[in-house]
Amino acid sequence: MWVAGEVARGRQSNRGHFYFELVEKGDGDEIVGKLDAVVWRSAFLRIRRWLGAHGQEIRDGLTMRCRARVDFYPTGGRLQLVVEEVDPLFTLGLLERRRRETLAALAAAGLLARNRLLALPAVPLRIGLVTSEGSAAYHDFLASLAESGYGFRVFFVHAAMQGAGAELEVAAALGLLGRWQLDAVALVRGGGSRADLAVFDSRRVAEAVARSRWPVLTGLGHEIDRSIADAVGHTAAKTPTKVAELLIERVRAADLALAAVEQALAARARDRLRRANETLRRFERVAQVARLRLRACHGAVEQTALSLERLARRRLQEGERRRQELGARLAAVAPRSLGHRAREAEALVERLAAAAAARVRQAGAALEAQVRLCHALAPQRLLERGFSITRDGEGAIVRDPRSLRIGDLITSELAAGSLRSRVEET
Amino acid sequence: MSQADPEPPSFAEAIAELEAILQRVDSDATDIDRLADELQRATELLELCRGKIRKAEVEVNQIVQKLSGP
Repeated sequence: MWVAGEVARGRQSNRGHFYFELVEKGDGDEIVGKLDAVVWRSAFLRIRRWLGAHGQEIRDGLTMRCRARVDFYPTGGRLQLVVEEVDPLFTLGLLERRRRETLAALAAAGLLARNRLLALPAVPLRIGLVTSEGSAAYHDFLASLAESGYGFRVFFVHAAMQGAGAELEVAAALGLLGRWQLDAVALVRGGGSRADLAVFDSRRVAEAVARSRWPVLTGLGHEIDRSIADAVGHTAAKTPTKVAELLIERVRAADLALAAVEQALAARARDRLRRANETLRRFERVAQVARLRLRACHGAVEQTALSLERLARRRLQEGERRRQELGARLAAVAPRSLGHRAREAEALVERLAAAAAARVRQAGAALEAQVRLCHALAPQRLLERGFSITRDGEGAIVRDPRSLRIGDLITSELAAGSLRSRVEET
Repeated sequence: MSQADPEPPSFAEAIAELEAILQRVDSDATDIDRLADELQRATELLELCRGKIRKAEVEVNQIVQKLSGP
């Protein structure tokens, strides 16, 4: 016989048997059916090992389907289910299957990454808060923000976090926060059992998170499991305090960045001033050098002018002195030099005449030599050009062939020598 | 640098302007005459950002005491 139901009031006996009530609940979470049940030690160990391998355990709230037989105890007059086997698919699956279906539907609607793609501002200070008013989560979250000393403004909307109506309240609260200009929304809740997470695995809440106008940060207080709300939100943290810390860290990062900018600004401004100062000083040095050089130039010019003046004056003085000296000497020699001068002039004229005559003689001799040279060179020059001079037996130059007879001997003078020949024809 | 701007810049805008000032101050492009103005503006922006971050204490606005179910 297979029966399905939820585990309630489970407890393990000293002997290792597991006693519980298998209950069936109505829509309003109320119990509508109940039966005592037991898993004997050997079966319990097997089932527990198997469930443990899948991250589950037999505990209150677990819905499972099991194969059982009914034992009747006449003494107590009661019936007891003896569970022998648990249907793995059903047990693991009920919530999980619904989760997967919901995730698939959200993915199909394009809602899985929608909220995550919203930009969380660098300084998230206007925070929407959805949780149960007065709960530990509420206090932890607000206390953390307050402690930070940063100027957070929290827009709080109460919503029941479990039980009937929680889905609707959470979804409505998330929708309501869309009306205000916020930086982020925190959806937080204290720890609870896995089954309590059903609210945050629900399609309605998941859609509300995904469609939220603001990035939704979830802190639903469970260590191992991620609900669908976590999956579709912007960022999932484990606890309300962690969500608050995340926001504070972000603001602090912006704060530090600001301080860094301030420091850099101051440092660079100082640096800039120092550079300007250095430039100024460099120019000052240049100006100073220029001044010194100018002064040096000025000195040199004055020095030169002074020297020139001194030099000029000395020259003038020297000139004057020499003039005076000459005047004195002239005055001393003038009387006796007159006679002497006259004789000197006569001798000069004589010498001049002699020199002129010698010159004329010399020129005449040179001219004659020249003329002789011309005579000597003239015929030779002709011979060199290929002419020849022909002379008869007497040595006279032959100018007319008719002055010769056949058989006469003639001598031809050529440039390099002479040859003798006999006339054959005239 | 529009001080007449009636709308104060957002945090991100203020940071961007600060970065720009930082760059200008760092480069020799800024006239020394204007250095003081730039720093003045930077100080204003820093104050604005600081104010944004720190000014208020945690302030809780209870928007709705309790949303009743449908």
